Amino acid sequence: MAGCPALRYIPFTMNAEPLIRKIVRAANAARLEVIVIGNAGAALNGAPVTTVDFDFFVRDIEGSMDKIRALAKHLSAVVVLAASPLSRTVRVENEKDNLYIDIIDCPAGLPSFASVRKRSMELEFGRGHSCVHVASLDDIIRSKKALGRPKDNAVLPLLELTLDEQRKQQEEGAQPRP
Amino acid sequence: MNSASSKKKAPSRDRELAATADLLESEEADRRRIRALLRLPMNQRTNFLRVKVGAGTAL
Repeated sequence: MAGCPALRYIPFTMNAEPLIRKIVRAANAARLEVIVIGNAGAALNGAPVTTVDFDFFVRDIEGSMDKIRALAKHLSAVVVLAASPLSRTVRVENEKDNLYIDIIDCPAGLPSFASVRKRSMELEFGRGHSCVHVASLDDIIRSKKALGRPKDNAVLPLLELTLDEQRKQQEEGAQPRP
Repeated sequence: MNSASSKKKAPSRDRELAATADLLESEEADRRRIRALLRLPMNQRTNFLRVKVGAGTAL
C-alpha cells in the first residue's frame, strides 16, 4: 500500500442522479446492457442505505470487454482488471469524478442474467432518455445473503424492512378503496 | 430469599423492557424513513452516494 493515498469518506451523502445519468447514457452508447445491483440498487428500491460505488450485473464479462472499454472511454475512466484470474469482476473508475463501477457477470446468490432482468424494474431519467434496469430488492437481498460479508450482513435488516414496506404498499394498492 | 431474587430481577427486567422499547422505536424510525423514500419516484431516490476523498484533499 506504500505510495497509495489513504482514502476516507465524507460523512454525508450526495445526490447520485447526475452521475447515474452520465453512466447510463454511456452504457447505452456502448450498447452494454446492465442491471444495477448492490447497495445502489437497494437505495433505488427505497432502502435507506449508502454506497461509494455502483455494482452492475452483465451477461458475460469476457464477451463484453469491448463494450466495457467503450463505457470507460465515454466516462473518461480506466478499466481495472482484477488481480485474480478467477475473479469475475472488472472495475471501471474515474477518481476525479468519484466514479467507481464494479462490473460482475456472476454475482453471488443470483441466477441467470435473464431471470434477474425479468424481475427488475426499468429506471428512466427523462422521457425517452437514458434507461437502466434495477434488480428487485428480493434479488439484491438474496445476493447479499450469499456474499455474507460483515458489510452485507450489516445492511440486511434495513433491506428486509424495506421489502416488508414495499409489500405492504403493494397490498394496500391492490385492495379496493372503500 | 425469594424477595431478594425478585429485587435483583426487577432492574434487569426493566433494562430488557427499555432495550426492547428502544429497538421498536428505532425500527419504527427506519420504517418511517423507508416509507418516505418509497413515496418518491425511483429516479428521485438518488441521495445515496458517499464520496471518497484522498488524503490531503481540501473539503
